[in-house]
Amino acid sequence: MNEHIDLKGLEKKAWRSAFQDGIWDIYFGWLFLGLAIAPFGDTFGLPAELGSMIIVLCWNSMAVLFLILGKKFITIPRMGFVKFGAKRKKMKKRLLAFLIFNVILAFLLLFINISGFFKALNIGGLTEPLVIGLILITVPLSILAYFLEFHRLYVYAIFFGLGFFNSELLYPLVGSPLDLFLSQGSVGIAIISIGLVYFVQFLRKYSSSQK
Amino acid sequence: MKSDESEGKIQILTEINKLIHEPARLMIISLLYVIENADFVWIKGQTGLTDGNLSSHLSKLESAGYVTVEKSIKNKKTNTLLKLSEGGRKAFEEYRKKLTQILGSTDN
Repeated sequence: MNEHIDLKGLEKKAWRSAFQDGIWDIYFGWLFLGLAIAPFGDTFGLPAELGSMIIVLCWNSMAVLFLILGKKFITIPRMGFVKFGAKRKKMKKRLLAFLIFNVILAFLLLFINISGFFKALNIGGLTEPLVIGLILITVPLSILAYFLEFHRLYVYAIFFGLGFFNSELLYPLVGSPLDLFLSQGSVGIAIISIGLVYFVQFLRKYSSSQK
Repeated sequence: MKSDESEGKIQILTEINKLIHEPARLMIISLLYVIENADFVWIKGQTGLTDGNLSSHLSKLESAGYVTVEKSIKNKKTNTLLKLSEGGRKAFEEYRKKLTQILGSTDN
């Protein structure tokens, strides 16, 4: 029956309109930038690992806050409020289950790494950061992109996943922590810039007078 | 035989729900069918209708009992929440069925 009125297409178009404000792009770029500044944790006089954890935690909290407040005070007043149907609710549950699974998997891999399993595999060289980046970042983010139907996130996932590999390439040239700062930071800034372009277009399309 | 078939199609045509068949209202009702609920601003943005136009169509849909309109005050501003009623859902499904019967049969 859908051939005459494409309801599926209509629902998808409505759902995807949530990503036209650029706020999700800025949010992901912000998160990626967090990894770039994490190695500078010792500048606060704290032990490097603890300092990095505090930086990432504060930075990511700001990103989440930006996403929530941005949607609440910028997007919804301009674009309006919408609550999607049962299909999307089911999808949200699956996404939540996936994210929980992902956190468990990340911890599992961390413990496996501590146990020296990866070293025993003797992958070494540039393959190790490439495999780790693709498995731990690109794959989960791509699954997230699939669930959210946020197509730009597939591209971000690839670039972000390649970040560790790029930092290994940069290491002989600039040393640490600049290698990670440049590789992940450039990706983060590029994504934020894309987000800002979408954001400006959104503000132009939905000017405050339309409120 | 062919004339009977044509008469049947014409008969279905007369049974088409004219309230839903109007393009702007069809757009509104289709959108509300695929979501749970939305406010006035969102429907306005998706349909591209003006405030007055949308209000007028919504009034007609509300009078027919197809759409429920819930008004509240949010941050000192009126917020109008729109939802397709059970009756509206059934009427829209019936409309689609009829439309498929007509358009499906003209494909041949």
